[in-house]
Amino acid sequence: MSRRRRQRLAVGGLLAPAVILLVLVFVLPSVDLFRLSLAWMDSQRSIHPDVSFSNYREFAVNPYFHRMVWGSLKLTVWVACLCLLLGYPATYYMVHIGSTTYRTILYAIVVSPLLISVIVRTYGWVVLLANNGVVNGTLLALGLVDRPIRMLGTFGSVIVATVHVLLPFMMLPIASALQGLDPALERAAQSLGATPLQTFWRVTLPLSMPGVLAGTSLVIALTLGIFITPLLVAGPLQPLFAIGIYYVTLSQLNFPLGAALSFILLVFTLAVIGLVGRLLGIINRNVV
Amino acid sequence: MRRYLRPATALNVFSVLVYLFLLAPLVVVVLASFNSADFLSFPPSGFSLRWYQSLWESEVWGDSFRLSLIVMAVVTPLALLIGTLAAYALVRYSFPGKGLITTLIMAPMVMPQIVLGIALLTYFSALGLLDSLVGLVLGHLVVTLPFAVRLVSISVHNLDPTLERAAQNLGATPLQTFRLVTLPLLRPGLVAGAIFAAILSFGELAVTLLIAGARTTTLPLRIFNYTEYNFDPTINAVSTIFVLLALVLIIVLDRLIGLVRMG
Repeated sequence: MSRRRRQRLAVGGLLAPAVILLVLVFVLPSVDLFRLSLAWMDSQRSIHPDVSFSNYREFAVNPYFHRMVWGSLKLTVWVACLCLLLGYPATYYMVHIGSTTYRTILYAIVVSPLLISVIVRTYGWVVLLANNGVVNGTLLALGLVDRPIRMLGTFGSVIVATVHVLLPFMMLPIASALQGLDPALERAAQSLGATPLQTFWRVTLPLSMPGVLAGTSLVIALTLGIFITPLLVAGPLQPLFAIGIYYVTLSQLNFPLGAALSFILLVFTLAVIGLVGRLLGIINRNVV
Repeated sequence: MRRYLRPATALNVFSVLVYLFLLAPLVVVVLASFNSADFLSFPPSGFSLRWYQSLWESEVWGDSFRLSLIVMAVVTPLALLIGTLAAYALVRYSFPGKGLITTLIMAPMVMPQIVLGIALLTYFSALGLLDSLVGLVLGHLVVTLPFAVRLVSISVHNLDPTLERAAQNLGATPLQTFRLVTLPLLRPGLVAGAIFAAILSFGELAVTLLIAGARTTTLPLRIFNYTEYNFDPTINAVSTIFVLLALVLIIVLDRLIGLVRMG
């Protein structure tokens, strides 16, 4: 047996289990879902498998779905901007801190949410924001309000909880970009007369842009698809795309429409990631 | 004379607040689990371990806990094995279609979770795999595989192929080389991959919520149901276990590969 042929066999053997698993439990379900999205359900709830675009048409004309898309876009902009505004300075602080012990503790705080189920993290926000929860309890005890403020169920609560759940996905890529940055470059800028602020604007920030780009597109993709966190803090009627899919499929049991909405969300997510990637790429090129 | 806040001080204060924000909901849940009141109340009315006791005595929580452990115990070795083989092939060899296969393996990570969940819901309902252990294991495998491949890949990257060649030149069989050279050198990546696969499976809810049912209520699914429909303060005790588990694993990960290098 030739060496080339042996190698090809080895690669095939090594990859076979993963490829078989993914074809059976990822590719085929996705193909099925697409086929289902072309079927339609009549008022008697029977599903007709003939090819039609009625679900996609329904999406195009029904204002309920337009509100969902708008809600998801609004949430995405809020969450991405807040994650960046909170995450970048906090990551910079973490990477530049002198003490190794302290830095490890901060890393642990950033990594720990990834190791704790999203349900537990979101549940924590329910405890904090409920009418008889910690925030309202504190406000009442301090006499700042005389009746609990309704926080759960609001769009604001969705923003806060989602930022909390996704912040590590912004901070970790930025951290690895800042770590990979050669400190000699910052020192060189300063010895050439740049102020600390100029050094940050002209050297550190542009060089950490790949991390910002990776973090931002990750956060955007995850925000568009997030549904457990908003479902728990704001309920199934919150106008968000992912929650709408959940509601249409599991409450109204309209599987074909749910399938079509799923595909629209998938394409939408890929488009937004591509667009943001290109946009940030242009900014990146101009800055550097 | 007006005094200005130094930019460095402002950055420090701001950053500390961000870290407190990250910690707040977890700290609150841990504190609430020791609260003696039987509804969500703040400030706490007294220290008590009654929720841990009710967790220990409860049959439904026990069932869910066992089920989650079983799924995790099946998913972790499978994800690690399949993932390690794939990672080795992807890092070591170049072959036609490599980009496509890499995309395929990483795709479940980028796919919106609700879409993956709905796809598996309709697919499994046709196969009769809804509300079954097999369905849960398959669903969790797809979710954990990309993470296993990624973490193991880092170790395969760092593995110097000349070491394996040297072992073979010195007369080791391929199996001996694998057991005595390759495996020990891959260990950090394998353990990190196993930890992430285990923890992801144990806490998985996005896909589970859509494909599980009354007979397969995992621990995260039970927390979800109780938070949504009938509140039970035992949730605080269960959640505290999740937090403690994460704390232990973080220490292990730090010893093993160093947290700072994980980003």
